[in-house]
Amino acid sequence: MRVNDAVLGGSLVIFAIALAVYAQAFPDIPGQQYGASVFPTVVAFGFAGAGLVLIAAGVRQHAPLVAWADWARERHGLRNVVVSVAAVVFYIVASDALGFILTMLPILVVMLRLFGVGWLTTGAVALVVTLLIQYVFGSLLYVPLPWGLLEPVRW
Amino acid sequence: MTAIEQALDLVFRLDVMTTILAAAIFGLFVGAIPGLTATMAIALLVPVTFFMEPVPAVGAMITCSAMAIFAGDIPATLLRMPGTPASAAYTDEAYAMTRNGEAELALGANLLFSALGGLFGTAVLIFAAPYLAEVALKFSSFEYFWMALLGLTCAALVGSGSAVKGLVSLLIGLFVATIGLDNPAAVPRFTFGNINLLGGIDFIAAMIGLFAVSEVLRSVAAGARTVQVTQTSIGNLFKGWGGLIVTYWRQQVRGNVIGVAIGALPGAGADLAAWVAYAVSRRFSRTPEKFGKGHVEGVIEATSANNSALGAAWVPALVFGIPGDTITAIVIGVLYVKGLNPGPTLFIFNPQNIYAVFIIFILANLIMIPLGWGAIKIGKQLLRVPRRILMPCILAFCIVGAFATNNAIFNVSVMLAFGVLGFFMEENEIPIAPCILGIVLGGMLEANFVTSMIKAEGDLLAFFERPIAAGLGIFTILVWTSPLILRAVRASRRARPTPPRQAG
Repeated sequence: MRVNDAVLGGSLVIFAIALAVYAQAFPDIPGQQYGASVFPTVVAFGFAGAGLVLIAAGVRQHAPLVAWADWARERHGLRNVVVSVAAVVFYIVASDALGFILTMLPILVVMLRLFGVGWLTTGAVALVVTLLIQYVFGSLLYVPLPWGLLEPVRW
Repeated sequence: MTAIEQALDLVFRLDVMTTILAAAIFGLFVGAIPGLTATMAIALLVPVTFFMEPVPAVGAMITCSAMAIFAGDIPATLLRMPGTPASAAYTDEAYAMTRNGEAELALGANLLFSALGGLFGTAVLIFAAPYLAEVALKFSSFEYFWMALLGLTCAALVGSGSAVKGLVSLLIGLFVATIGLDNPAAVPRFTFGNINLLGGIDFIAAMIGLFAVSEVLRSVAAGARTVQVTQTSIGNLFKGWGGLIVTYWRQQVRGNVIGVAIGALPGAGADLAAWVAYAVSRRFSRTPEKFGKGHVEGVIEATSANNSALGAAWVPALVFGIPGDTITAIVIGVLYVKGLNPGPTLFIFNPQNIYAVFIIFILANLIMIPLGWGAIKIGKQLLRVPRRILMPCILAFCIVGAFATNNAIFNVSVMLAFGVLGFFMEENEIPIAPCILGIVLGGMLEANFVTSMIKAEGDLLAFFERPIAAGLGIFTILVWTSPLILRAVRASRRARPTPPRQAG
């Protein structure tokens, strides 16, 4: 998704104003003139300046407000992106209750199948990768991956 | 026991050696797959290094990055697809050699001059870093402020196509760095009452998002298709190595020097070094007409440059804590986590760790030759790994890696947010590298800025009162104004009739 530079610049200017206003609320270090608000304010000014330059450039370009890149015309391109993002969201929401294995396995199966991988390969890859991660991170590196529903059979 | 003996003891241990070897193979694999960058290799490696001792952790990152930068040459040569951005400069040239049936020569030259370039960069690191550390000891907050600003300026202006978009990326990074409690006044900023944000945005999770998740999204958006390899088998790689060195030693040395100079510049890395070296090689070649048609000369110079830049990028990283490129930016983040805060004191209090880093650098470039040979031999198979299988697996590793940084599911959300942000940024030609440098350096820049302002009681001229600070400050301002100066020069040149110029 390619946004016109003017739109991009405009959003940056709006963001910069919000940032600068919000930053003024930060208290200074007692007895000092310079504190927590100085740096965010400088950053806000930078955003505003860059935003203005981009607006000027975008107006000259005469490009559409939003243009889709080649990949959106690609078959399934957009769907693949949405599915990949949804997979991570699903992990964030469900991993604690279901556990790592029961969350990652369906994520991999769905993604692999949608990308056109055969059932046999999908099953094998999903199972091996999930168990490998569980072993390497969960057992070797002591990362407390959640077990969720599989808690009773934890190994 | 001297520091060097201690360092040898730290390196030559079974676990360290195994780690380095595994990291090397991993780096070769990731670097050889088009679209997976050296930075992505490091991003995926970092969560694993969390659980290691400092020396194997740093060793793994050094080896992995050196291998990935070299391995990027393999798909560049065989497929005309740079495996890492650092190979992009001479991709067309190397591919033209493959079409001329000289794939062995191109890959052999890449391997040889990558290893030699890496060793040259290491030598510069070994000799320059301790000397610069003594200088750095005299630095106050003013000098550090300018150093950080110079690094960020270079990253935003030099390393990207559009200076404004580089600046936007940098500002995003600086803004992200302000989130949380960690600021001179210890006030919670931009946390919106979220406890998870109090500690700030986790740098590792953000980096995995920016470099790995965004890459996965881009790849699946393009249909995750696997590329077709048309290349014939690879013959004897070592053929003619002696001849290459004898014929092209000038190009090699020049490439090394360019690589080191650009690599050591804070904020500019191997990618830029390769572009500049290729251009220089063409400019000074006795046979510039052969360039672009499969001539090994430019390939040698550029591949010498990108690997030597890698070692040199560690000079500002270790001495000043200012990353020379995205890889060292990540390394700096990890060094802090490991308690090896970069800076001149590292050379005084922990010299054995510094020597260990040097030794690993040398080792990494030596084992590059046998391992690289193996990677080239199975290169065809490496390139055939189906992306539609690879991408979901990489995403799985990203999720677990982000989670593992502090065992919080919140970091997976951070990773996803930055993954989508990185994807959007690349779509709009906003470079990612300045952003990650901004995140790493933001805290340091702010701390030194506010400290200096308090010391100087708001007098901005104080930033130019100390000699080194003044020099750094003037240099930084020159870099800022260089686009304007260049435009003025071009405008005045356009006013006069342009002299006939050679093509290229």
